[in-house]
Amino acid sequence: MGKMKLSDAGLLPVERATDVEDAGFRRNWWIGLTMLHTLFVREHNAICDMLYDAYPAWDDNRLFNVARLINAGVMAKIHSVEWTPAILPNETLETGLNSNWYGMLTYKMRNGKARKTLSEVNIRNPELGGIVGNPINRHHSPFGLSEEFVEVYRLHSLLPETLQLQRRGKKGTPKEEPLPATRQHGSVTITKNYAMSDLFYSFGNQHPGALVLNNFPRFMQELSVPGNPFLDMGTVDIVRARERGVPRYNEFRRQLGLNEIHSFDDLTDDTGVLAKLRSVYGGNPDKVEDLDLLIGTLAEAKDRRPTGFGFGETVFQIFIVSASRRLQADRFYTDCYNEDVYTPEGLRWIDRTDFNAVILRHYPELADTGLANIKNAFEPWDEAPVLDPKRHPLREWDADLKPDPWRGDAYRHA
Amino acid sequence: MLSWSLRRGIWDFITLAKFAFAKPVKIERPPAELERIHPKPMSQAIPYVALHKVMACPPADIPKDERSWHSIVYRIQVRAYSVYSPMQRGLPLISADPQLALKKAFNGLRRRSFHDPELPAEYLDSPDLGSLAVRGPFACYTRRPRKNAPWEWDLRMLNKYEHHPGLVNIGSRVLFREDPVRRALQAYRIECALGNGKIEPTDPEWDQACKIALCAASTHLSLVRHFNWVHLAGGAQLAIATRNSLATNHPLFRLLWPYIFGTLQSNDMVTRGQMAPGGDFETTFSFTYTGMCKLFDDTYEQYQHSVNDPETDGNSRHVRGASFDTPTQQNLEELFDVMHHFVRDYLAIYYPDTKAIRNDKEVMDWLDELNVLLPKGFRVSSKTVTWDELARMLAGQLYLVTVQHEILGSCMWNYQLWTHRQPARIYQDFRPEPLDVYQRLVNANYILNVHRRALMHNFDDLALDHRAKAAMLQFQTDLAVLQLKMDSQPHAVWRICPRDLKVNINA
Repeated sequence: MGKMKLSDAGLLPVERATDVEDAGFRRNWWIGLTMLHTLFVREHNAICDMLYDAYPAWDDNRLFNVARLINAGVMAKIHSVEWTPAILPNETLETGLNSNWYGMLTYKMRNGKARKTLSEVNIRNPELGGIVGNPINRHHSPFGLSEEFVEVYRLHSLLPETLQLQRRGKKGTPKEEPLPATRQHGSVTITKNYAMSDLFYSFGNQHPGALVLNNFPRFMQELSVPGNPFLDMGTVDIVRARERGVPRYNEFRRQLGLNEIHSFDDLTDDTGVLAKLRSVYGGNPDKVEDLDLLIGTLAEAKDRRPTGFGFGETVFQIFIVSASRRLQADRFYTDCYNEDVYTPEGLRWIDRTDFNAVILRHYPELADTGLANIKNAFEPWDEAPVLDPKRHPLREWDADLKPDPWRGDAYRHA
Repeated sequence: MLSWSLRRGIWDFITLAKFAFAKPVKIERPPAELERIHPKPMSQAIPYVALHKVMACPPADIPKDERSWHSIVYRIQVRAYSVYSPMQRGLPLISADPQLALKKAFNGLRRRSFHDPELPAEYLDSPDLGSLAVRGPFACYTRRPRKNAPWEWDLRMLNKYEHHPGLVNIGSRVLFREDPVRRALQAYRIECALGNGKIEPTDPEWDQACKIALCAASTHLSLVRHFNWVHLAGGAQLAIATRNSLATNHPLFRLLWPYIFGTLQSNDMVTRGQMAPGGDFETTFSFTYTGMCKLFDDTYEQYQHSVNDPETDGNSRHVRGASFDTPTQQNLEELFDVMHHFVRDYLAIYYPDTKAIRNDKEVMDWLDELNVLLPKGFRVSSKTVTWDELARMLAGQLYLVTVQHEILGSCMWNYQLWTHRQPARIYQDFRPEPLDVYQRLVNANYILNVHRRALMHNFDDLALDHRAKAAMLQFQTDLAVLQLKMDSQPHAVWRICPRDLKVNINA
């Protein structure tokens, strides 16, 4: 009732004509999408079971729609309070994003398990009481993802050249699978050979690429997309911004109220990068006004980014505004985030669910792995009793983990 | 509700007091002389527990060294069942939200005195029976009758026993197929009282069928495997035979003493509290008093000591060497191996070979008595015993009171209270339990976790000489090494560690 279709093996159905998972789009399909789609279809179905128990008289359509709403709430929460802090591990940032969701009072005064998105006393202030559950605010403008947002979300450098596939509980060198081999039908082939839990295990143990220059995946520079000739996605990332009239890097910063750069030296000390920038854009004096937005943002040196940030301040300006506004302008996270729309059970489901719980709910065998050792499933799934602060920076200021934040979660029970 | 609050408050207080006052027993050197114990059918030992085939130590024979004032508390408790029962008719149901239900039933000082139960990952969604078939306490039910037959949990026999009116019959059978990619088992059918008797994952009744299967497994595990087999069959008969047949300065007596001490007194107390009419078992699980007694009598006779040897047991169920992951099987084998190693070291001190064992009349008498007391006897008899067989059997005895008792008892704390997945009993309309049933289930499981003497405690002062002392110290070292190894792996709710183990079944 209300459920989405999965195969007997718990996988997405495969479309006969293309032999690719039938998820409604296929141009950029790859194993990562297969995993997340499978996971959240399973989550949807689990929510349907929960709703059906509570409301056996509901019809198929209502179960589907309310489950979809709750599932979307789970995803929005994970994106707000887990994924974003994981890529920008910084105490202020984490406080800010949790305050967006829960409100600062709840975030600071309740521990993790006891936090409720809608607290007992509703404070009608988005900072103190949270955006979610408070009145909608479109700031006098219809909400839509801006072109600027599209440009800063060009994060292709996060993709590695190869996936290191390994099986949980088995020692040995991971199998290096070129990422193109995981695309389209390749995804179906991989899920035939690897359990979904092994794929999550592999992803949990592999780092993404860094958002820096000279790290654009080679395979994306000669990318094959069904119905298109080979294309260089790196070029597309630059050209699209030019075509759409999105300002170049320096002007973009000025319009955001950030300091402009006067020379490429303001971006980085890396002599190799500086030489390349000057050879492409021209130096003496540096042609800083020609610098493309994507190139400039990737050139912002790690040591000049806010502490812990996976990307720099230019991208962050757009990110943070969108992260808040996409919640604040959506009635389902504001005016309609209530028991009438979501059901009390649905709100409780969202409060009690994090990414870790979603994965374990559907692949309980992963409770035996490093996933049990970490709080945020986007952290590396390290298994050691003592976690490396450099690899797990989020733990340093987590009040729930005091007094010993570096002790792995799986060892706290001992 | 006022009367329920009062009733609940009193019984919660009794439970808390029992938990708080329970201290690990001090295991001293045994007295020089022990009085002989004459086991009787339970119905004669404790007249209001109508088990006719189960042999027990009569109250008058409970050894003086074990007697404690705790037994008076239990006798008062049993009296109170009829005067002011912890059960009350007509109460509302527990919250459909398992966390809320637990929070209300396990609160205050009890919650401060012991950790909250962990929710196994398998219970986050519709129960993953395939994962439970290889991880945790229910893994002991996973078997295949023969090669190429499907894997199964077969507990259909539970249908033979009288259920309370209004409850669903819980006898059931789960069939599993192997998933080679996931290296796991996947449940594909449950045969139970629902629908046409065969429920598949795509059927709307699948979740209800899972509840029946898990209710059957947890009921059988608590009543049969834990209380009947560990306490009444294995543990009690080991204690009786050891006390009756071996002198207190016999090497095997000294080996076994910490593992048997307190068993008879404890069994007497706990049997009264749990098996009396109106006791824990009758009021929380599915069976009427008559049904429960018949179940105990029947299954007592099915007890086999081989369940205490994970290698033999795993082979008999065909789980060893299976193509899927078997983490609990491996976990149990690791624990058994340490105990087996210890027993071999210890035995070698006093018995160089099989002949030396067969020449020891006390050991032969002990084996003979155990073979008489245990319903199915041992495969090891005094006429054919070999050195290796005796070592393995003794390791199994240690394993029985330590590992088996832990995985079937205290470990259930993390499973049995999640009744939204694993109900203690199943009503016809699948509604949750009323407050009193759930409260009693929580309290009974809480009390299973009283502080008891740890296995990782040095008992070398019981040794007869320095060689035995060295073997005991080596055992502690081996346990510590295994613990260290397990400490290097992430905590798993199903895993049993040496640190968790208690040395005996004394409550």
